[in-house]
Amino acid sequence: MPVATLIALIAILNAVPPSGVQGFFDPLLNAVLNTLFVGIVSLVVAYLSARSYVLDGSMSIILVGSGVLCFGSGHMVGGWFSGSLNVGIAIANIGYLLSSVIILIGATFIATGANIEVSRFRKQVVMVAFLGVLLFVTVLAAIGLQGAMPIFFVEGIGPTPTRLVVLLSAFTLYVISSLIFMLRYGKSHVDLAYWYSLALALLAVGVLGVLLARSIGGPIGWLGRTGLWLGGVYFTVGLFRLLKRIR
Amino acid sequence: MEGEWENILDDSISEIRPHRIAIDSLSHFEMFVPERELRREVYRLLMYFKTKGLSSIGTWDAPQTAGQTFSVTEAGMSFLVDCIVLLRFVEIQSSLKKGLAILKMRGSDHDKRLREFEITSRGIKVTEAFTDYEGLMTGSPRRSLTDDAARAMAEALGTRRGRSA
Repeated sequence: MPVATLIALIAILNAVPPSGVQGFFDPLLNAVLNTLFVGIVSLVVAYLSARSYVLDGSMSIILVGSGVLCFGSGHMVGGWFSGSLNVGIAIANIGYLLSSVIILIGATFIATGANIEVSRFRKQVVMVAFLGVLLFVTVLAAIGLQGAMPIFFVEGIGPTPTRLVVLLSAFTLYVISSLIFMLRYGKSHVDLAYWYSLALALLAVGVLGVLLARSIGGPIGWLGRTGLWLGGVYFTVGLFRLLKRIR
Repeated sequence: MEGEWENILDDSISEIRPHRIAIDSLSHFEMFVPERELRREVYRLLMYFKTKGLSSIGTWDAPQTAGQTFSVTEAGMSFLVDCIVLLRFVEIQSSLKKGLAILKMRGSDHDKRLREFEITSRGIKVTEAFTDYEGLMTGSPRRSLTDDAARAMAEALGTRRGRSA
């Protein structure tokens, strides 16, 4: 329901000609909401994925966990990067792209039932995966601090071609992953797959929203961010449903 | 008891020339020694073995009541020994299993986990730690929530074949 509602609202607002009003955007509020709804959630998902991978050894789980961590850490770091709006946006957007790639690889493992067996050194695999993701985000932040980040967003105009490619790719990959998770749910009827599927769909809609936003404080921008935050909420709901089932 | 057992042990030790000695069990002292002197007597015995160059291993019956925490030695003798290995039964899924934990090992960063052990024809075999459970020492074991969640996640999204859920 939120997915359809957000898509409809974004479509309607996108069809309306821009009014020229800047809208409202508070970087601190944005950073706090990113941290609460996305950053912390991604850490919880990553932690549980790590425990699950160490116990079970399914590569799909650690890939999905790493993907969610990449999304969350990139989005959170980008949000706190208040010095330059473009740099913050670029970090978050590149984070979405890498996250969508990793999650899609994980989803492909789920769809095909494939696995890379690692009987020993699973903890090391987790360390490499998570540290790799965090290092990637750190490097992005360092590039941003050096002033070497390409232009992603121009306030009042919208995304640059670079951002368009990055976000359209992330959107497409999130959608495909979401469908794979929904197929998994159709076969297994496990709630977690259902909620992950919806969370990924919300991430896709969120990415679409921020892509179409011409102004960061405009209504489409807010809808996009709401989609991303709701994605975090849906990941959390999935985990709560999981806990409810086992208790 | 002063002086009595030293004479008896002196003869045996001279004859056998052992390197190690097992006392099964130190709890028997409780039957012959007043409670307030128990610690001193055990200390004397352990020091005696030490002066003879013997490594001593003693057992002590730790009371184990379901639903209660335990005390290693009610007489407070933990400080007398270098190493304490706790053995106890744990109930898991309506069956009794034997658990082993190192409570103390001077000068060593030892394994802190409670592990299962079996007594086989080839000796004691220490196996897996009870990592899926919490509260084993209090007699109220329950499965760890995060481990349960991790397993459930593996069932939901895992692809590994031959999984033991």
